[in-house]
Amino acid sequence: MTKKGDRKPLFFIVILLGVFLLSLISSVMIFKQAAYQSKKETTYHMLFYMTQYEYELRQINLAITEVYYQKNEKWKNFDKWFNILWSRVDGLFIGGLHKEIVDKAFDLSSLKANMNKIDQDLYVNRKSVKKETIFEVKELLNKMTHDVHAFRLGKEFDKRLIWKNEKAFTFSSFKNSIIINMMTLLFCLFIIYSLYRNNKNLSNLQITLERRVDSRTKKLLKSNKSLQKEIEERYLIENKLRKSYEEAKKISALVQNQANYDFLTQLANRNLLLERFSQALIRAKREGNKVALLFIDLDRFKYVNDTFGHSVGDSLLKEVAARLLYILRESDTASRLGGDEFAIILPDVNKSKEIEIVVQRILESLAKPFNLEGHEAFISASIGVTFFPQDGQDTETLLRKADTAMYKAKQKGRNNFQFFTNIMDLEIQQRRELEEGLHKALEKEEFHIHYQAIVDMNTNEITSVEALIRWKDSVKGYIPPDDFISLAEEIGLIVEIGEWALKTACKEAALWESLFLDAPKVAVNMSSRQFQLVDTSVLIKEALEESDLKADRLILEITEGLLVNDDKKTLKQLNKIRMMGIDLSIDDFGTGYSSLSYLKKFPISKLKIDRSFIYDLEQKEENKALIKAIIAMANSLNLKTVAEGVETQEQRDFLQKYNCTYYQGYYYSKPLSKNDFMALLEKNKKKCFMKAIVFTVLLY
Amino acid sequence: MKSIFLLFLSIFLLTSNAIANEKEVLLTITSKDKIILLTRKDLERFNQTTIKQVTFWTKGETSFTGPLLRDILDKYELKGKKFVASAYNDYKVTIPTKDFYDYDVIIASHVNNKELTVRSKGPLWLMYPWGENGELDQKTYYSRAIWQMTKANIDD
Repeated sequence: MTKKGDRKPLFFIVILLGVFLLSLISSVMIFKQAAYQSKKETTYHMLFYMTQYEYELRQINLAITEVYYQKNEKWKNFDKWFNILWSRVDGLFIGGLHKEIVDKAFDLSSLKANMNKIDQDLYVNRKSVKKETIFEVKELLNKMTHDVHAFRLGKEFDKRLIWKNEKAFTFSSFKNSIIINMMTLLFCLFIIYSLYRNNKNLSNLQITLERRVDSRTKKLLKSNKSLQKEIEERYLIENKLRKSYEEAKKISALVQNQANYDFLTQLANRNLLLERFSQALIRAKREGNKVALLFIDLDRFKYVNDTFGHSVGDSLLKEVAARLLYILRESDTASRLGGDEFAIILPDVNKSKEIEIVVQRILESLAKPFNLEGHEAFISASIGVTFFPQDGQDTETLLRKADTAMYKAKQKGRNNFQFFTNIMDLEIQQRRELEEGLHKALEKEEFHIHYQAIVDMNTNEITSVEALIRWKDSVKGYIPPDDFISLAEEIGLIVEIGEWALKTACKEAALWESLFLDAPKVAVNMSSRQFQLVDTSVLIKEALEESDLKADRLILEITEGLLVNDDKKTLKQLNKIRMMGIDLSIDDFGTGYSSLSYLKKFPISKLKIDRSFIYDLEQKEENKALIKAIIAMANSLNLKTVAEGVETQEQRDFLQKYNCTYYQGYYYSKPLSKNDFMALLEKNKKKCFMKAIVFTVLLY
Repeated sequence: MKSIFLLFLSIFLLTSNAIANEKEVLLTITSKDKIILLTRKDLERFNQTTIKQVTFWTKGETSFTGPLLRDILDKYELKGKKFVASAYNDYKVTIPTKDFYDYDVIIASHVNNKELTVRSKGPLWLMYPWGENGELDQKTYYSRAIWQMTKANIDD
């Protein structure tokens, strides 16, 4: 129903528009009619003028008639009308009025001639005007009147015709207006009809719509129910999703934690350390402070881990972390870099003295015993310290230098700390160069072996010879073994160098044997790293086979350290070697560990007393006592002794006095190249030969 | 009746007296209760107004001189809506007096500084200033410019 209501104003507008349009059309027609009538006005005006003129003429006719019959008594009236007539004729000559009609209605020249004639006849001499003249004028005026009347009558007729036309026009206008009205009516009827039809259609549409809405509503109600179910399901799913999202969030937090914290100790990991450190650097730059970076490596951690197992090792690390945190301030950052390496950032440092205190406390704290799952473990730490900004500008450099300093601290002896110095950097540089040279040295055949005789204290005969490796760098010349052996051990190159040295020495020894009757045994140094990295027994077997040297002609010199570690693998190798019939001697005896139990445990045959005991033997009574003790102990264990670095007669005599078995040193011979050593052997052979001859001669 | 008779009588006396006299009456204005007789001198006593314009009835630009009609009406306190003017040739025209107050309508007695005669559409010619007022330039006002005017009657 509302639709019908909405249509009503539209309907009125349409009707109004129609009416307006029609009235516009009719007004246009009426306007046209009016315009036609205004055209006709000119004609009416002219007719009026002519009527006036005719009237004036009649009056003058009347006046002249009066004059004619009553002679000169009535001239005054005639004069008046004649003047009036003149004024009209003059007006016509001026020609302001409708020239075309004036030309049609009047013969202007004859009119003027007539008027002039009357003027002449009547006004030149009024007194002598004859009756005939008056009559003539009368006739003339009569004729003029007649003419005008005739013209006017014609025009009257025209006027009547015009009136008729006008009537017809009015009628046609009326007719037209009726037609227009009828059309309007028809138009209205049409509109009303169409509106009615529209309305009917609309109401039909409404009914169908209502039905449709009804059915749709029912359907919607049904679907609404299913929707509600769906919504409930969605709720459940949403809840599940929310839960899983929360879990994911937790996990991501955990991951975040793992990304920044060490899993085992909950200290910061390397990432977080780097981040914190760069932050600390920024702050320090701004405030002009120092930042200290501590690099901590646990000594003997590997031992604890290997001995007690990984779980104990882990709890040790946890305990270390706890002790570190206890010591540190809140602004400090402790982190575990991996394995047994820790790093600590100490920001806002003014003096290195402050750091020394902290470092000392850390060392003391870590040196205290750890009670781990019923085991008591002792460890210590080596700490390297660098400072920002003096030691470097960026994290990587400072960390590397701290590592270097730590390494230096470790070298100095454990449970120690070391500030970084620029010399360390230089050392590192040298070390790197050395390392490069070392790698190439084997290829370039820069290694040589020198031989130093080991002499029997009583017979003064060369019983064996120690093979000593020498490295002659093409640029730097001879490089002492102390400088490069430890490096080679570190980088594992000792395996190849050791193999080369062993094989070369064995070949040389085999050569001696082929040349000399009483050729000396060859003693080759074996690094403990070699025992760790390869099976030395296999290597030795190979070397002997290659050189065709008998096993009893080879002596292996090993260090105390190898035995102290008490490694089963090493013991196995040593036993195999001993089984081959190779002598084992302990090199540099007395410098390392004082525990002597390993001497019994391992198949050792000789002890080499370290040169540091021999060197100032004369001055130091305690050295003498130690040497005596060592020799006595060795004798009691059935071990032979070799004194290293014997340089004087006195030393030799002292050692001989206390029954040292052999000696080695500059007193007898310095280490010689293989050719020089061969020459020495040659000389001894001759001496021996001479001795033999003398002995034989004496016998005889 | 008596008053009308008296009126006619007086007109007759005056007119007859005025023939060939300087005191000839040129314009007679009547109203309900007044008869005004105006000689040439009477008319010349009023302020003279000149209208210069082109008309149908004169050649070229013509100056018409005479008193303003409203001055005459005001002076004699003649009031009424209609001014019915009559001419020598018995032509009559009805003019609303409002015209005289809206426009400077004059009774011209001189054209181009010459006295008007009957022959030159005088002696009096009512003249509208249609040269000054565009809206006057139409037939209605042309028909009101009556020439050879002799009488007028003011009526409601």
